[in-house]
Amino acid sequence: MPQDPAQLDDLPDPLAEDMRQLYRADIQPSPAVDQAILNRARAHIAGRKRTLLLLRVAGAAAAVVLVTAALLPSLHSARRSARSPVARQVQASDINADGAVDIRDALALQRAIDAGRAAATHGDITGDGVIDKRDVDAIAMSAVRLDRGMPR
Amino acid sequence: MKVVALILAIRLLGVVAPTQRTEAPTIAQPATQSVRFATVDVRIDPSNHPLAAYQLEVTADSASVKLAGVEGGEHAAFREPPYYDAAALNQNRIVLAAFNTGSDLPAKDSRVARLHVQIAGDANPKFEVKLTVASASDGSAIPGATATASMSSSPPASTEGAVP
Repeated sequence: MPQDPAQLDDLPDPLAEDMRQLYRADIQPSPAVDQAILNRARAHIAGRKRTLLLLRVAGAAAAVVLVTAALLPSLHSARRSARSPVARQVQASDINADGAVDIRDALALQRAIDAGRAAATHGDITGDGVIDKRDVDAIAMSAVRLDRGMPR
Repeated sequence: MKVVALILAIRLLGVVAPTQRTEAPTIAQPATQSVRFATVDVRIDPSNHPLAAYQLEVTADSASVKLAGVEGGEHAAFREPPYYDAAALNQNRIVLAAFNTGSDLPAKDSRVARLHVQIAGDANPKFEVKLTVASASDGSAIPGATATASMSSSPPASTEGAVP
């Protein structure tokens, strides 16, 4: 086929027509090839979507890691303070186990001491191995502290 | 010579000092704020139930009030000064608590504590009472118990608190 179609004009018409029919680029791809091209195009688009999804998941994971790293020290210290001597003392002072330390705990411990049941309580607040008036006073003083909840 | 100079200096000071002493009060007078002392009676009415233990918080509405001391109540069961945090002195807030395991307990309205306060200036402070515990001997809450705080040296200004 000549590069320039104008060259066919110099030929006789029947020959030019035959030449045109002979070199006509009338390509009809088979359905299989067509489908293959379509599939590759779809795969390419899906790949881009997957990349975007992966980027979003990675960003979210990074944010979670950062937030956890920021909160971990305070969580750790909170857990540690929950096990601190002050926390243990507050827990021990809650003689009537109502979740609060107030004068009723001192009353309950004094009544237990008077009735000879002090050993049944966890009222050794001072930690001297004896449950007596000093433990009662310690609970009462804990109840009236102005800065309750804060270790001294 | 030095002795003479010293004697002269002392004589001069003796002449000048009385003048300063007489002038000083007139200069300092405007800056001086009057201070007065008063007592605040804290009372609890346990509504005919024997009161074995109480815990309450008293707060003055003015920072010009400073606690100076704490006294016990009028009933024998609470005659001893209640428990309180010494850090409350020189502040305008205090938590008081006391208990008695005996059988002679007040069931009527009575003074359970008396606060001694120092008031600066002409303030007429009000005292708020928050009764957090009013308990029977077995530790159970007394329903309907109320607490009041009233100042004695000036027109009473009190508010009432009840067991929540």
